[in-house]
Amino acid sequence: MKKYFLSIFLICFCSTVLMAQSGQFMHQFELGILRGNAGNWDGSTMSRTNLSIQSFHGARITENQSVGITLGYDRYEQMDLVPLGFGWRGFRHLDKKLGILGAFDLGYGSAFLEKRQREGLFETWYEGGFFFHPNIGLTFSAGKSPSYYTLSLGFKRQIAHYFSGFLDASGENSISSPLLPRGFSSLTQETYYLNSLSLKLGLVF
Amino acid sequence: MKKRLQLIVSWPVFFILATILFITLPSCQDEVKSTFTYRASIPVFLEMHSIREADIIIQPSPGLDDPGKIYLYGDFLFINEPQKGIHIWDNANPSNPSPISFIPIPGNVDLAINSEMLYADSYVDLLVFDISDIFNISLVKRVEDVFEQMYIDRSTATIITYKDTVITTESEVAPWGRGWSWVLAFSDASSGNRGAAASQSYGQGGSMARFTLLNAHLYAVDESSLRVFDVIKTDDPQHLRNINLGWGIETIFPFQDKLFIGSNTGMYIYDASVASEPKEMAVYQHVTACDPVVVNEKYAFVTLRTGRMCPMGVDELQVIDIQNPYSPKLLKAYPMLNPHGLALSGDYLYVAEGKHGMKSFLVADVLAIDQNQLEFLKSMPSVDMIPGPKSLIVIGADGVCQFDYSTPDALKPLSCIKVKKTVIV
Repeated sequence: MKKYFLSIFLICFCSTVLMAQSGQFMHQFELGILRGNAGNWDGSTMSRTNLSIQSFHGARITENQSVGITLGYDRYEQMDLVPLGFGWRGFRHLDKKLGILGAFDLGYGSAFLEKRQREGLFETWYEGGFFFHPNIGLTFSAGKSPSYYTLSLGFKRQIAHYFSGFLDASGENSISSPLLPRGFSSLTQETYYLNSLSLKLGLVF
Repeated sequence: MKKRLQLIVSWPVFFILATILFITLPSCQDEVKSTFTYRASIPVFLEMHSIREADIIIQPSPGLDDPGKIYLYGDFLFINEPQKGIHIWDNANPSNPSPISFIPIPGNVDLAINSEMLYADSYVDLLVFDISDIFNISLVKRVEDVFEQMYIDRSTATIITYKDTVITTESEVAPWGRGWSWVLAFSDASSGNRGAAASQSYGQGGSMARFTLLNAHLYAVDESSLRVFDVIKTDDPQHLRNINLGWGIETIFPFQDKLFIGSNTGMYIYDASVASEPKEMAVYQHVTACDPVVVNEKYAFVTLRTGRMCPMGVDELQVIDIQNPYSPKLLKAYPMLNPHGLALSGDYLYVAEGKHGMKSFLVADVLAIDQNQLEFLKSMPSVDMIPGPKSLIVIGADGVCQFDYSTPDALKPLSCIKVKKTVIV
């Protein structure tokens, strides 16, 4: 699945670059926060605020719409993820001082920044998962410059996994299943569904 | 300004996204789903009556799934598939072994062959098959209730066995380890009936065997005891006695008139010159570790390794002087990676290093084995081996593989009997 995703992503990236060469390219760089609520072991909740950086590189498909790729960095408490996906941007009244923005991103948040760790027979690692991120916002003209500022509010759902398992040191024959990789005698999988309110400031150029 | 707002509101996409956000924003609560998956041996209760009533019908070989013990007899290779039965392969040409048949034996773990009689366990029973015609194998004897430690209720002949399975729960309760699995081993020990022994021909098992034959007696070790069978009359084994050895018994290896029994905590040496009554000669103690053993006239070679049943062990090859079998002495220990089974052929020692591969050594000078490593085949993960007359037979990750070891420092691969399921080593 990841391979298919990566292949499609590369095709889109190449297409975007080609279209960029025809002068229909646009960038959006955004910096902001993801705010959500994490549950505690006793049932109480604790709010979290996480840094989120994202850049969109797209090509205009109509006067007011662009599609392209998004690449980002989200720093959650548990792990750092690198979202990689497809994006859509729609604008209205971009030529005015105040316009509106709609955006939608869909892709895979990779956990490759997290190292796999092993202590004796105990091993832990992270894996990323799919995300989607719709948001709406406002655009502000940056004077005479062709650039625009953006302020957007959205919802981001990111899936990620944490695995911790004990390796089987016996060397005896073993059995496995999709949930228990070969070589492990037990494995705990925690799947996080991170639901966040996103608030971001951006620059379109 | 008013006009601009009207334009904004009229944009349908904006409406759609705003609706999505309005619905989803209140749900900014993280969710965590936790699954705990573990391998476990679940108990299975069986009634021996029903097992005994079922006919054992020889089948065409269905292909190897999960090889256990291997045994070589003449040109035939016998491969146990734990709890299921025994595969028979024609190994006249080790470069091209061919399947002959499969004997379905429920509860089978180990085997030994004596003068065309195959001894195999089936839960609590010992079965005897006549293999004089390899294409027409027949069950000739069932010795009942000799491995009675598996009984959970003797009155109803109910046994308990364990089946490996993978369980997934939504909780995080951690069950530790697997259940005890009863593993039996046959060994070739026998007592002092030289006349009968001289007329018998035994096969060859690996260093991790639990069955062995010696001097017209069959020896089988389970977790805690040594069982002695008189097989002077090869098709009619007589269960003579059980000798309690304590827990942690793993392997048995016969040499001359002695039995070398590997356990988690040491190596037992038994005098089997009177085969029906083996006598303890010595116990060589070592740290708790899994330990198959092979021997020659002067030395015993013992591999110690860490494992599930012995997680606090060490990984090393020990050389023990057994010239005085009543007082074995450690000569030297060599660090290893994760040694499993081993095989001795003349002055050459082959060590299965588990997932790390397979090593060969010249052991003519037992004090300098580390300086005489001949090969380290990292691409050949292995668990046990038999030095046969035509080939070195190795249970590895790919299945049962054979090597030409006529040139001991340059093993040549001959063939591999592939398994459906990769062996974890």
